[in-house]
Amino acid sequence: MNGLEKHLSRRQLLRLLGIGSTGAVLAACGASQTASPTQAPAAKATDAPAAPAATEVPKPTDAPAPTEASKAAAQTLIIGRGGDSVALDPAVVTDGESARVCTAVYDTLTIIEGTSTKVVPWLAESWDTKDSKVWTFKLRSGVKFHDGTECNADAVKFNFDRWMDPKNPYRYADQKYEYWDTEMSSVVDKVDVVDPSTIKISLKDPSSLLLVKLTLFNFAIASPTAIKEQKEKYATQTGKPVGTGRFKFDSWVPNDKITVVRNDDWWGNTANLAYTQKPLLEKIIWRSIPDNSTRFAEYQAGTLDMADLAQTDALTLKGNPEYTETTSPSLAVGYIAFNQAVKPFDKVEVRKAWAHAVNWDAIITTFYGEYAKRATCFQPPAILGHNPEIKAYEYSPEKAKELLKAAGLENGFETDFWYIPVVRGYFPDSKALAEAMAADLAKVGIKLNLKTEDWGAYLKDRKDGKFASWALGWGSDNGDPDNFIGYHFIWSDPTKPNIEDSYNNPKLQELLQKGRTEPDAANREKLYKQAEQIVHDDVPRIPVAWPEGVSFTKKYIKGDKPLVFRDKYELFSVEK
Amino acid sequence: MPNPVRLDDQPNRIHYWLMGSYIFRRILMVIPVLIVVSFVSFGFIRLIKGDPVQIMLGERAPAEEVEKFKQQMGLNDPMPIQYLRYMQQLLQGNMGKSLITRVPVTTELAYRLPATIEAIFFALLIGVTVGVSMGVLAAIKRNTAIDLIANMVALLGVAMPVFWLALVMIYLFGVFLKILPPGARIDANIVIPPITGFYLIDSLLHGRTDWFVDALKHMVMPSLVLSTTVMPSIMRLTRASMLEVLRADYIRTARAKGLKMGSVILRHALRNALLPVITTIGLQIGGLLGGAILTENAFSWTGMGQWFFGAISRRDYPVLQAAILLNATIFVIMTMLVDISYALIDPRIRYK
Repeated sequence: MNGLEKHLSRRQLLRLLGIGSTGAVLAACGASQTASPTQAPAAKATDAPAAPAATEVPKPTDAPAPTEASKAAAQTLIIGRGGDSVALDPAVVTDGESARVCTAVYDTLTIIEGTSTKVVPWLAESWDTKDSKVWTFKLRSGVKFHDGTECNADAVKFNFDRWMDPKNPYRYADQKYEYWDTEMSSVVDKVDVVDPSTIKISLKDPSSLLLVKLTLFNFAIASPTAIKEQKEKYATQTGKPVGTGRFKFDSWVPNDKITVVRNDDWWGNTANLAYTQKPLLEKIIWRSIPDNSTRFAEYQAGTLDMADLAQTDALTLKGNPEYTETTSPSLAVGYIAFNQAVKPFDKVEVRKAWAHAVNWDAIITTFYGEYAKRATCFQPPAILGHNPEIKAYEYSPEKAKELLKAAGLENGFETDFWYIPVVRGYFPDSKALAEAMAADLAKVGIKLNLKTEDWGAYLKDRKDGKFASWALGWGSDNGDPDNFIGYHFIWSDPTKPNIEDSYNNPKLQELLQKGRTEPDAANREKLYKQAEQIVHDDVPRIPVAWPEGVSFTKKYIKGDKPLVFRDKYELFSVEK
Repeated sequence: MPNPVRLDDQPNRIHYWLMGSYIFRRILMVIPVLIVVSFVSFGFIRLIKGDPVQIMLGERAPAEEVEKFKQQMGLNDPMPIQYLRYMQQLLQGNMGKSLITRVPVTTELAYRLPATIEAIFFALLIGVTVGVSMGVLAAIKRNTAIDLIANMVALLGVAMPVFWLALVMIYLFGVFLKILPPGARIDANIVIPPITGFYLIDSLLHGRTDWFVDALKHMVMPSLVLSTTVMPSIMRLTRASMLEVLRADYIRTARAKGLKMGSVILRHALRNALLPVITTIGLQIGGLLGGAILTENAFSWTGMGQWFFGAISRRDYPVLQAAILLNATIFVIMTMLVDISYALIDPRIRYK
């Protein structure tokens, strides 16, 4: 989630509590499924529940009164979420709330299969490359945008031109093409139209990551006609997004709701793809309800069919016969980190002593309940390169004392430890957890001064290397290890270690860099497994927990399947 | 002992002149106050720790990115420069753009304001109607059970935090009884094309009474909850003022003339007792704006209160500045109007 997470985080922050839910957030922050090498996030969709309020468009009604509404009305899904979309132009947004709507309205060239993280054809019907450098994509024919114009090679090129060229006339002040700039600008060299249904993408260097990057919702294809007509208003609150997706944009009442209706002319209806189906819902409404308690109340009242809930709220639905509980595998990790530029964390014995001094299993049970697993290595099992041979650091105060002695610190030491000021799936109660950990550490002579500060300041100070040791976590954006272990340990400046942790291991750098270009999945896995082992031995981080997603879906929402890294609105139906 | 207003008092020229000059002076006094307000609103927010850019760009934003963005937004300039730029734009009617959504503050204000006005209007309506009736009843039935109950209700109204009351009502009427919608301004399936931004007016302009009824239903709980911020003080003021008036000579005279008690209370007593009440209602609007922040948030009411609430946790400076400035301005203007209304009602004020 690069960008995505940004957003999520902001949203969560807003909510003060931010995690999880009935649908989504938890999931988004980290839950998903087993995977293979790959990636793309696309909006992690909420799994959302669907809906009660039977009503049709313009018809007032109280929530749960089932009217003799037409079937159409019944196939309306109302989703409650913590904030509004920023805009519905996928090229310029990064937030999860925009992504959710964009993935319903737009299609990308490739898509994640869903039950696996395999990349499969979408707007691109097939592709071919000889050297991983020049890729030729054959586009599906007869695909139309919602405005009736054709989605052909020229339209696709128009989109690429707008993303790639800072001087493109259809880019406007205030617009940042962040995803393109971070994910693609160093990869793609040029894009050419071969014939009306074929485009050629030439890369700067061979890369096997192109296909997976194209599944990102930000690289969805928008109607050139609409972009030209609406200019800077395109897909903003006062504009209208036009894509080729399953759902057509209907209306946007800022900060209140966004409505989309089914696109009955959707190309996928006739494409017969094994991994998708004709959408059953006729209408989706996303309602912004910033207050967690209110959103939860509305979910219970029946005015929402699905809702993103705070985990504390969601768990109160446990055992309630109206809801189905589902957990999804972890895609996140909560960890303790050390700044090796600060003494005594320059000594590996000290970091290791810390890892052995704490009874992590007890901490997991206490603070995560059944919704997390003890992390045995850095990446959870769903991420490629997870190394099942690594054993978690066992709880042994004696061993910790020996290690401290070996480091010349038999009398222990004192240090600052920073815990996060917000609620996250990976650290649901960071302060209490820090206290429990401090109690264990005190027994071997390590005295912690617990500290925290405003979230924004916390993130910045950590990045600037101002913390000696701290707590933080990560949720995968796309299932790819480069976005997980790679993100944390590759030096942003290739000549020197990152300031935040001053962790210097050239061998690890080499492995992680290789992982970026190695085209073969099995070889990549080997590289990342080795990287995991190095991280385990050097202890630059102590992985603590792999939080799982938990959601409580209304029983009348049918069709849910555990898809990962893509939306699945086509699966849901409302059967009350 | 208040003097009863003589309704037949005919002002002469000197009266008009004095009053005009009073009003003029009073308006002039507002200007320095507003300048101080703008200064405070600008400076105060910047004293709070927390970097809006880091929050906005997220925990993964690289430091250079953050720096570049700050440069762009002018957040690195010296404070006085930032302030002058802010004031210059403000005078041109430009309140900046939200740091988060990049939507101009004035654009968002345009549709958020009607929502808040609608809620405040109904809250005042309820607050005044109920407050005044309870106050009158309590005064007439002084020291009876009715008086006691009215006082207790008022006390409860003061004591209950609005966000708590809101949640209790949402659960009671929305979740369990399911007789009122638990939140929002209108049913999720209804989209009212905006004309004035006031849902109740727009629904009628579109000729949709069903929309109107639905909007009205959504109005009930928020306005009730919001009304509790003003109702207690109105009730107690009415009661106190009524008690004083009822002891006045002219009431005794009216009774002695043989007028019925009901008519005395309505035509003679209430009329005079309400004067202080009416003037304080202006001041109450300030309190309502404060109450609206929590109430709107609790009912997902897309008004100004909800907007400001969100802006606080996001350190959305331009929105917060607008919020502080607007609230303070409304308060200052209301105070001014109250002062002027005193002058209109009580001639003695003008001469001072």
